[in-house]
Amino acid sequence: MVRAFSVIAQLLLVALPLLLVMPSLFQFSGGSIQPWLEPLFSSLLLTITTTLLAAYLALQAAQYSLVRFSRLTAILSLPHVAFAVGLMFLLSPSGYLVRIIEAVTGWLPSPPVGWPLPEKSMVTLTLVLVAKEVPFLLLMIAAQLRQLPYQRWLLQAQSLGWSRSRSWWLIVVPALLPRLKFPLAAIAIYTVSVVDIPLLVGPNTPGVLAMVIFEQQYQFNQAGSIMVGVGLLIAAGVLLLAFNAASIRMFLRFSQRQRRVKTKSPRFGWTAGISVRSVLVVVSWLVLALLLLHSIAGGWFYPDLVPNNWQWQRWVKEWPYIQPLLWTSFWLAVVSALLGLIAAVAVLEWQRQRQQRQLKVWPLLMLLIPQLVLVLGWQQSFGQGSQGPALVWSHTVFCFPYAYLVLHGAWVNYDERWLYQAQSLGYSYWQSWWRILLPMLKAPLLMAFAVAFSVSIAQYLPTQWLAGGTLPTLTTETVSIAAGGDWRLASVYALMQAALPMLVLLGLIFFVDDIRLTDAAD
Amino acid sequence: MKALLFMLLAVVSLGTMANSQTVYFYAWGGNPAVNDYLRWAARELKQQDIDLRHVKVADIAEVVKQLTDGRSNADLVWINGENFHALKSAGKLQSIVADIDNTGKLRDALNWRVDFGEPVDGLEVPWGVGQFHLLSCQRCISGSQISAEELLIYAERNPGKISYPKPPEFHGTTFLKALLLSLSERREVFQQPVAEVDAQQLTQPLWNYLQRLHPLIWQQAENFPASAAEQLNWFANGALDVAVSFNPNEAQTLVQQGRIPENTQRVVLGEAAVTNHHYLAIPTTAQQAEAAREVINFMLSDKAQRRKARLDGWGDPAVIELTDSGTPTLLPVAADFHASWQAYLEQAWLERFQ
Repeated sequence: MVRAFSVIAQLLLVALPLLLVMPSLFQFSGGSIQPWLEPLFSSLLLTITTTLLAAYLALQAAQYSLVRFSRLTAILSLPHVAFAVGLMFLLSPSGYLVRIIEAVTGWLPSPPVGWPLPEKSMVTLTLVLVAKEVPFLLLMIAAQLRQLPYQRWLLQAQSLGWSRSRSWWLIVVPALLPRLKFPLAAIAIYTVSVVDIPLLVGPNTPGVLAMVIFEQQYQFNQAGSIMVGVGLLIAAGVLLLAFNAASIRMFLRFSQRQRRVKTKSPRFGWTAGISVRSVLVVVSWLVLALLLLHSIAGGWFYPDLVPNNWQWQRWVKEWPYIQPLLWTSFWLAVVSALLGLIAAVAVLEWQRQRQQRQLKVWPLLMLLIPQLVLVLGWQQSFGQGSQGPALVWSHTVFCFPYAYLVLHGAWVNYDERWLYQAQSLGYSYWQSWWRILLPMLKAPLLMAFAVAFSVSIAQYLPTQWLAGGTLPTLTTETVSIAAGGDWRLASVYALMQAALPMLVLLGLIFFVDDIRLTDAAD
Repeated sequence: MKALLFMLLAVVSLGTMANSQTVYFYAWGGNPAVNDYLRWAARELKQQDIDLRHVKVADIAEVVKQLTDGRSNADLVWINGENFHALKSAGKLQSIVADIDNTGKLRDALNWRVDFGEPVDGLEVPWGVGQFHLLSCQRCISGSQISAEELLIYAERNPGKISYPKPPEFHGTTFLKALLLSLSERREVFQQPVAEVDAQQLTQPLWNYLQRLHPLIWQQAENFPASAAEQLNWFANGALDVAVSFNPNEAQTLVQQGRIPENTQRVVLGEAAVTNHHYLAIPTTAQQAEAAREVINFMLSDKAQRRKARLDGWGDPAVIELTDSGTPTLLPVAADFHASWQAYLEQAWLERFQ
């Protein structure tokens, strides 16, 4: 039965989505590859830099102590775009940091022209993406570390005279990295296919590949030619997955060689690894605070440190319009997160029973294909105005792999002896599964639900392109309001959008005592 | 279990769309003042048993594409220019002008019967007026007009402070048109389709001009604002000295909304403002075409048009003659280019500067 469930889940949530994309891929009508090469190059550069940097920073931060999960709640639940805007409120040439410099020194009466983080640039784009991916990676590292006796390894290595950083990078990281292969791959694929963030802070002459595809999608005069871009996007995805696997292998070989070297060198990273973590936490709360301030601000212009006047009534006025959106978003997220979770449990249970401990590609496949390609294909198969069921299905397709990722470690490493013991006391197999295993895995289950829930909340492309505005959610409204650039109003929506996952995450932290993604180390 | 949850969701979604007279109005959702206006209109229309749903889109072209592909639930759309052109040539619009009450009062002087050189042919009804101009601060560009050459001099004195939305964003493309008009002797020729004139020779002054201008503008033209809204934010914070606008009253309405500083004024680029209309249209596939016509009737009523022009709201000029109109005067009018120039200018710009 488990097998049947597992197969059905994967058929519905992996095979079917793939099948539905196929027809659109065969509409390949040709066209020149030339105009796509520069966007392709920027996309590859962006993705490789972002993934490597995020991996390095997360591993560096994890070395000192695992982040207490609750501190990252803000950054994890803020939608990407809201986070990007908040970060620009903080760091752009007219941002808060520059305003403070101006207030103290008086040197910058107008926003500085050569500021290292301009409103739009590759550097800004990379920074935003890295800052948003590191917390996700920390979560994944914490989940995987729980399966390794790494504290013992560290102790042993240090008792042999190795520095802590050397022991971490040469002993723990090589064991950890292969387990992070898929989370890193998911980050790479997300980065290569993300559209909304590059539109906001990315360069635009010409810009990254996914963004150019998105923009050209609606240019009437060049209908067929975006398929060249889509083809390149798929190729870039494959290339990046190969690069990801290859760089992990390279690091393993490198660390193997380094382990034999007797000297104390090399030093990896700076010792104040704690700073990565603190910076992230501080920045995420500052971003949240700035969004809040903007949501109640009247006019507020450079170089003022506080708004000229306040407009509290914006919240009151918008609330009646936000309320129904909250409900739609909430229901969609609850249903698709639950379905995704059940599917993940079915697949993992089948894996557990057959003692397959590694992460499998197949359940994660939907994270490894650019979302833009998938949704474009589905739209052509379904048509617009598809309601409820199609929409829930499309969200579930993306909730499922994340639930699988989060749940995987705890599930496949569940100690089978608990079940034997229960059975020896007279329970049937399924009774003991239900009464012993499930309660024991309550924490990771709820965690997986929370992550799947926030994944559903964040879905823009499937919601907008499949439901065609008949089922507006907080996210689709936030995006269209944000298009108008009035971030005082858009902040209200973005904060409400963040509120749902944040409530779920906070609920978890308060009501489940053993949500300890951290170990005693913290 | 799954079936149960699906049903639950179906009930939830059905509950929100019980009314049979629901009109799905696809319109740009980025301007809070417009959104507020449409909320007001929806409340008014409730009395006629019409449930007006503003489906907010980030770009109306999404819907145009879906309509031409034959997959859309739109009953009413807010369009003009290129988008109208695409829908008209795909035969996706109903002929409606004859059925609308207030068309007799439309201000003919502004020539609404031609939308970017394309005859309206009764397929869309004007809703408001757009006039392209710049917003600038009082200590930045002085005077109410600036020619292309003067703008270049300004950019030389204030490097990095000028920019424009990246074409094919329509404000950006209109910026190019305004420059081209300012740089050209023969202005009427742009009313003709590109194919009928020597476009390359006519536009050469523009490309030469931009070669000189670009090194002097924001980020040396390596990047551009993605939209007029984005540029407006940078302008509001003093990172740029100009913003672009299509609403001739926006210098006032945006100040009232606290979106831009108080010392903002409007500046015409060239001798007159490139002027066009934005329209309402009903797709052939509309399921509530009758109710959608009622909505248009309402939108063209004195009451709705007067409300639309209010400076504490949207501030969009009325398209009908209003006797007691207290709204500010329009800018000097320059007719917009024929629609075929849009794609030509965009393409030529992208080839040179992207």
